[in-house]
Parts: sequence; structure tokens; C-alpha cells
Amino acid sequence: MPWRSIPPAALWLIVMVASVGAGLAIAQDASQDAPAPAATTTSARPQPIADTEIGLAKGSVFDVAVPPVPAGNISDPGDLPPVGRAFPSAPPRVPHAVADFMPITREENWCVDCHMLDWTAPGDDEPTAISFSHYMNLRGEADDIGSKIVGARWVCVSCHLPDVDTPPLVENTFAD
Amino acid sequence: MESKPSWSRRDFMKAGVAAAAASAVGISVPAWAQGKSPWRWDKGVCRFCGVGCGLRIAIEGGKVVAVQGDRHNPVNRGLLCVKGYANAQILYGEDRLTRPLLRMKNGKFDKQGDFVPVSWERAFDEMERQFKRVHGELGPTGVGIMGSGQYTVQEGYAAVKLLKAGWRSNNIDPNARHCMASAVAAFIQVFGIDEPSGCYDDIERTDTVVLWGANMAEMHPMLWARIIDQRMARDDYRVLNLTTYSNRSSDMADHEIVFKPNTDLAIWNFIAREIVAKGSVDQAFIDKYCVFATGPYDIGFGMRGTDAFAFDTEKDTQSRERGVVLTREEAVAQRKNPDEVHQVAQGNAATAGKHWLISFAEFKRALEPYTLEFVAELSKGDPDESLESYKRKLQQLADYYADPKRKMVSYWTMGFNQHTRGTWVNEQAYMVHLLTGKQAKPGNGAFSLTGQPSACGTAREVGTFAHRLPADMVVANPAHRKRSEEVWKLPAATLNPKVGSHITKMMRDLEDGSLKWLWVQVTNPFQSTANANHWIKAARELDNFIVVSDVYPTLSAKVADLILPSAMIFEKWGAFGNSERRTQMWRQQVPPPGEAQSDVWQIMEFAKRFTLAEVWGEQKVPGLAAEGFEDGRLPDVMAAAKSLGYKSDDTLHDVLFATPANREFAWPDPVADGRENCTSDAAGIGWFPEKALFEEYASFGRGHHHDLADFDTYYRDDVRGLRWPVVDGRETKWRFNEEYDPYVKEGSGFEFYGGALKALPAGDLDGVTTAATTSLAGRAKIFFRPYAAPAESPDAEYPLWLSTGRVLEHWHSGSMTRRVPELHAAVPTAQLFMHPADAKKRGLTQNDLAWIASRRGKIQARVETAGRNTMPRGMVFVPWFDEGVFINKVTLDATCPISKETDFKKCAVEVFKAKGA
Repeated sequence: MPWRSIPPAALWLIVMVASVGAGLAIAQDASQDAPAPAATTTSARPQPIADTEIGLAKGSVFDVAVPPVPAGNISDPGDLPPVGRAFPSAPPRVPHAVADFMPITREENWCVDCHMLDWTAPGDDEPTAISFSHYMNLRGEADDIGSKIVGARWVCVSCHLPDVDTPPLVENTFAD
Repeated sequence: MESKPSWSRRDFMKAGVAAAAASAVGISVPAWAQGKSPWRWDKGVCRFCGVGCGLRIAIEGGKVVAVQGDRHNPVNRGLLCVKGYANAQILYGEDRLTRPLLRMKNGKFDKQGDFVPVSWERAFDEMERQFKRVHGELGPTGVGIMGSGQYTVQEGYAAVKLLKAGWRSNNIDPNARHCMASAVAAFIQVFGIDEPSGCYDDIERTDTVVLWGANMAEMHPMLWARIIDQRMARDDYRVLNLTTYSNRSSDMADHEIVFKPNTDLAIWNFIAREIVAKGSVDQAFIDKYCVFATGPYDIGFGMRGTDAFAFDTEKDTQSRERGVVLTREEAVAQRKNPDEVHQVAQGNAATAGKHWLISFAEFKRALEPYTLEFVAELSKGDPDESLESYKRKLQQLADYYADPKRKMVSYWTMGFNQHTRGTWVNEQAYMVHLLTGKQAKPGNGAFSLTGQPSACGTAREVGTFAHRLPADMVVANPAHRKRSEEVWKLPAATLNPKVGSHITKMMRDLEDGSLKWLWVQVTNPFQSTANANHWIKAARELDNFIVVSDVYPTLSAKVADLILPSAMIFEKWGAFGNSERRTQMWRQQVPPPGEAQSDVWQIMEFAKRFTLAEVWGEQKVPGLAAEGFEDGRLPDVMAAAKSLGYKSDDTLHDVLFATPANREFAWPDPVADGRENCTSDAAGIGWFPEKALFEEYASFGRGHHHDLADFDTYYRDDVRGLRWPVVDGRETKWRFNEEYDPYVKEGSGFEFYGGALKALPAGDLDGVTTAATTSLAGRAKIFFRPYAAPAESPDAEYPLWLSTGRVLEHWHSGSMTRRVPELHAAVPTAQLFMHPADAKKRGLTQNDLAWIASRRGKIQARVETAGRNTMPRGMVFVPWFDEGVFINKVTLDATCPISKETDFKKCAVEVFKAKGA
């Protein structure tokens, strides 16, 4: 039966039931420690994998999934220690909530207000100091060191991600 | 694959910022930065957007261990955005595809079966069987390839050659159709040649940047960084953001103009009218280098001509494809009496691109209705802004464009391109820039930014479109087919002159059964195509065979019949071309995982399954009508093939790829400096396909305005990509400008030398009056295009505008970025951005679960009433990266009738509270 011929009330019910099911499936996946059923199985006797078991939204493509409430980070600056970088050349992530400090405008940058500190002598209890590189212009010259963040580095959130305690959808083996 | 770095990266993470600062000042420089660590660095290109940032990539033990911005690359000068830094991690999601997966039951292919890992041999056997079944039934038009603006140059070239030269089909079209086809159509109509006249250097050379439907702060963040760098250093620099809702680009702009969807068409005409009224036309420039043109208005909306496949609820919108009643504003904008009813049949839907010359006087007459009063009332997008405030902003905008002392750059992306009048609105940008002589000059120009890393370099320049051949040639042009047949060493009349199906039409073809075999490469079309309920149903329930080559199990993989595991960016050799015509290449750095293989290998290997006799005999092509061809069929070219020295049992692999010329490019090659090539290795060959294919492709463009340097040049240590045309070893920054472009005739100053559509009839605003054509060699066209209402507008039942788009943290359908834990945590789900008052009216508040419903489908999302976007009342925004928030079930598959690019920026929806959550 084509779905468009189903009476609207019945369709509503079907979609609701399907969506609740899909929501549960997502919640369960997120709480599992074991990796998702592998599309990467290389065992001698391969197990068939249903299309509902692969991808980032498990379940059927015809279902309506129930998206989770985004966790966000609600901590204040200083509550949590600095977080590690994903790898040495990656920018540090932000360990606290930033919603109250947005937007960044030309006149107002709360990130800079707190983090523009002496990078050569980081204090134990101080905010993380903005790196030397942020005073250098795009030709790699530093003509105003320590006094003015260059415009190219002004929009902090273009490069620095917030650190949010959210389980990954899929494990990532980069750091293994 | 398993290997621990001998030098602990975790130690470095602990060291954190202090060490990073130290490394920057040069004190206590760590081993990895000194070149003493076991890491091996090489240059590369970012996998994501069209900016084309340069990377340095570090490898250790067969694994990518770090990336950083390449400070020697003029594009990004060492900077990278949050996605750029994720280039290392995207390779390592735990569910990488490593074996072919075929739907099977009881050991046989079964469309209703589950996925079972199979060998490549078994996978290709089934692909071949299904191909030959469909090809036998439907001919070349029954098969197709959906390609990508993320193809490497070589992948796109291999795909287009297999499909067009081998299978004699034109059903190849990239996701880039959804991304910048409107920009292409306008380039061709205005300049006669694709790709921008300017380059990124304009950012530093201009005074004024205007964004039109381009949220650069999130979508082109490192170019935005360059703009902000200028703005904060120069008091006279100005940044304007024209948008349908307030976004992060607004945060840094001097002026923000929130306009109503589709009314950009009217705003441009207001600006042009002001320029004329103020006497700011650069008369000498237009007299020497420009002509005026216009075209029909009754061109439809790129929807199907029939409603046979429409859901009942879709039929009212769909009927607008055949006829509309003009709104009052449209009547005024199109010089009709607004007090009368104008029922307009969409008679030029199939001939939307035709156009003719008009006089400057006619052009000025067309602009007359676009007064400040009329345009301000029509276009004001925020109901909470006063008309007076809005009018002041529009006037300021026009004043900037009209000021002869100001250099102007206009940037746009999807706000223009994804538009049912996308070609028109692109052309209007050139209209204003040409009128004022602010085009093709340093710091002056209208510039289309692309969304994908090689939408320009591959999709457009290689020509992986249903109508194109390499180097701006098209299948419908006999001279272009002839030249391609010569380069490809094909018998005459091998190439099919009938334009194939664009990507949205291929979906429609699947639904109506005219296309039954589809190979999806480097894209996720079942998530990215609008009105998706139709297409996922067609894929899963009809008689067809869908192959998806990808690196992760995407939504498209879920609806596929066969999934093929592909190599990812640094696991293969490749080249990308960015928005400013810059071609950049990288070497393979690490091996692909498991049995994953490069797309080039997949294409070449599958080509072994076809003998010439199977594909070069007579073929039926319904609807084919072209000079030199019998109606409805392609001729048998086997006799001619034999006279070229081919045998009937030669395979397409031998004839198209392993040609004697290509086999001359030996592998291993010194340019690799000891690195691997998974394509040559898997094929067991002693030649270098990526180099051979690049050089063969480049031979199309050299001497034809598209010159690329030779392969090895791009790998030189002192080269960070080059902007074509590269003539005598020199790149070209500003095309059509004698000072910079070697193709411009000496003494001419400027020459818009593109050759397409350069002979036109003449007429007035209403149509052609003189059928005889005039040559416009060397000139650009200034088009008049009117305001027109969109395909669907809000009404009582669906009272809200819906726009879709991206976020900074995620790329396209999220298949790579959502597998990077840091990016996923930052933006874990696609939210429904809406005005708090619209939410409150519906009993909704922050994070509530809401239904979003249109005539086509409905899905759920979490409400966001704050955050990075501020919506005006009456409009909502939902990003499309999240397959769990499948917004393309809701969107409308109307397209620009000229470019066939879908309008993802406007359709009508209702939002209501979801029960029980």
C-alpha cells in the first residue's frame, strides 16, 4: 500500500511508533561500549549485515529518527582543566561553555579579553594564554607582538572547538 | 595497520599550550617540528570546502598522525579551520568500509537480502551481470553514474571517459549540480567560458566585500579570516552581509541586510537602476567590452512536467510548472498592470536558456519599476525591522556599488546558486559589476565561491556533467565531439550527442523506470537530493541495481544493492582544483585499509568487463535527434574502430585506460620519492594511472584557455598549486585583463574571449525582433532579469520558509566529520533554528522535539531559538548534515530551469510540537 493512501491519522500513529523505536535504538547504540556491528568484518564466515545496522542513524531510512538533546558544555571558565589537543599541531579545545561569550564582533571578543596573557610564562591558575602565532600577520611577520591579535585569528571559534562530553557516534582509531 | 608512534603524541597533548607557544617563538622546539622525529611530512590539500587550504601532513608507521596549515600556501597561509584540522582523523572512523558488501539471500544477489561481504571479483561479476541486463533492455540511457565535486581530477576524468566514450551514455552528473551549476550557467551565458575572472588576491586588493547568500564565516572560514584580517587593519574596508537570516558573518559585518527569500533578484535591479540614475555607468567599458541581453520569463521551476509521480499533497505546487498567476509584485516587476490577473503558462520551460540582444535603452526601461520604495517593501526580510531602517541600508548598498572610487567584490555561494532563478541572480551580479566596470580587475569582481574541494577542478573543468566534455566543451556541439573523439582515439560518431540526465533527473528516472543501473561515486545523493521520500522508495522498491562506492556506510549505502569500499584522500594520489582556478596535488601517504581501493582502480578494473563489440554496436537512445545521426539511435562504429586498429574483443580498459601512450608513464616514478601507489599496486601494472590520466586530460585544455602545468610541476617543493591558465610556467590571476591574462589580444585592454553563445539574435524586452544573429566576439553580456516569485511560498497551511545549509563543524552529509569525536561533540545533531516567537506560538521552547512538515514529508528535530543563527519571524533553518534529521524528506526538488540546480533555500513548511518528548 503506498503510504500516501494511508489516512492521515493512521499515518501519524505509524510514524510515531516508528520514531519512538528509532529513538530507542539510537540511545542504546550510544551507550554501548562495543563498536557498532562491523561493516568491516573480515571473519571467514561472514555474517549478513542488515542495512538497518549500518550508518550513523541506525534503523530504516523510512523511519523518522528522534534526535537527542545536544549535551552542550555548561561549565564556567576555570571549572575544568585545559583539555588535550587531538594531536600536537591541533589547536587546543575550549574546556568551558562559550554561549554567553558569543557573538564575537570587531568591537567585542570575550575570549581575547581573558586569554590575551603572557604566553612565555603560563601561570598555573590562569586562563590558557593565546599563542605567539596569533600576533603574527599572514606573512609570518610579528610587528605588534603581545599587543594586538591579528584579524585573521580574531574569530576564535573558526579553529577552536568546544570540549563537550558527548559519546562518539562511532569510535575513531586515530589516537590508538 | 596497527602501529604506535615511537614518539608519544600523548606526551605532547599533556604539554599543551606552553609547548605550542614555545614552538612558535622558536625556543625549545620539539622534535616533530625540527624534523628529527620519525614523522615524515608532505604537502597536501584539505579534503573539505572549495577554499582549497594547503596542508602539511605527517605520517608515521603507515598512519597519518598530524596535519597543520601550510604557511607557504598563499590560500590559507598556515591557518586551518576546525574541519581542516580533522583531515587526519577522518580516515580513522572504526566503521571504515574494507570489503565489498552485496545484498544476498541463499548465496545469490537478492534486492531484499542483507549485506554479505564478498570478493571484488564477486562484486564486479554482479555489477556486470546487472549492467548488461539493463543495457540490453534500455540501452546507454538506462545506466548512469552520480559523481562528485569531491572526485579527484583523475577520478572524474576516468569516470567521464568510461561513461561517455565507453558506454556512449551521457548520464553522468555530479553532486556539484546541487552546488554551483547556476554559477556555471551564468559564466557560460555572460562570458562564454566557465570559471571566475578574479582570484582570492581580490580580498586584499579591494575596499568592499559584499556577501550575497554566502555565510563565509562558517562555510569558507579561512577566506573569511583573510577578509577580517583586512577589515580590522583598514578603517576604510567595508563588509556587507546580505542574507535571509542573521548569522556569524553578520557578527563581523559593517552592514547586515536581511531580505525575503528570492527578492535578491529585485535588489540587484534596484542597484542597477541607482547606478544608471546616478550616472555611475562606466560608459567606456560597456561600449568597448559589453552588450545587453535578456530572455524569457515564463521558464517554470525545473519540476517534472507531469504530476503522475507526485503525492496528492504535492500537486498544487507541482502545477506551477505548467502555469502561474503572477503575484502583484511580479506584475509590477515585469511591467504589467498589477490590478489585472495575469495567468502565465510556463511556455519556455524547455527553452529557459535562450536569450537575445537588447539596446541599452530597453535595458534601462526594464529597470524602471525597481524603485527604492517598491524594492524595499518587496524585499524586507525581518518583519521586526522598520521600513525606514531597511530603506537606508538598501540605499547605502547601492551607493557603495555606484561609487566609482570604491573597489567592489561580491561573493556568493548557495544562496544564489540554489535558487529557482539561480542563473539569473548570478547574471545580475555580473550586470552590476560590468555596468560599473568593476570586473576582471584586481580588487574588483563578482566571484562565485564553490562549496566543494574540486567542484571547479573536476566537476566543471573535467566536465563530469550530463552535457559536458573536458575543457568547457559540450556533447551537443559536433565540433566538440569531434575533438574529443580525436583526443580519445574513438571512431567518429561514438560520442552520444544527446544531453544526459542531470542528477535530480537521474533520481526521477529511477522512479519512472527509465534508469535501472546506477553507480554512485564519492557522494551521498540519497541524503543530499531534495524530496527524498521519492528516491529512497524508488531505490529500495523498484527493479534497479544501485552500486555505492564510499569510505563509510552512508545513507546512500543503506539503500544500495552493492557497496564498494574506497580509498580516502591521503590513501591515493590526486589533484583538486579550488574556487580560484588553483590546481593542487598530493601524493599517496598511507595505504587504504583492508581491501579498499581507489576509485580510479575501480573504474579501470570494471572497464575490463566490456568488449568493444558489446558497447560500440548500434545503440538505441530514445529522443536522440542530431545532425548526422539517425533519430533515436547511435550508429554501429565497430567497422571504423577496426580501421583504427581496434579488435572487437578489445576491452574498454585497454582502449580507454591502458593505452600505449598512458603505459609510457612508468611506475615507480621519481616524483613519488619512495611512496606507494595503491592503484598501480592493486592493478599489478608498471605504469602510473593518475599521472597518465592527468596528462591526457590536460591535453584538452592546453592552447584552449585552460592550460595546466605538467604533472611533476605541481609536486615541486616550491609550488603550492597554480592558477590556470598556466602559460609559459606562469599562472593567471585575473582573466580577460590584458595586464595579467596571456590569452587577451595585445592592445585590447580587456577581452571576454569565451566562445560559447556568442552569436545572438536581437529584440526588445518582449522577444526577438531580428532573427539574424550578430557576433559578440570578445564581449560580455549584461543581462536584464526580472524579479519572479519562487516555486513555493508560505501559506496558511505551511506558513514558514525553510532554508537548509551547512554548519562550520560538519561537511556535507556528515559521513566524515561526524566520525571525528571532537566535531561530533561540538555539533551532535542538526537543530531547527527558529525565532522564539514562532516557537512560542507553537508551544515550543529550546531543545523541544518538533515536527517539520511540508507537502512532501515530515521529520523531527530539536528546537534552537538562540545559537549562532538568529532567524527572522516566519523563517526556519535546518542543516542537512545529519542523517538522523533527514531534512531532504521535507525539501522541494524544484530547480533553476537553466542550470538544473535545486533550490534548497526555500520551500514552505509547518512546525509543530512532537508528542511525548
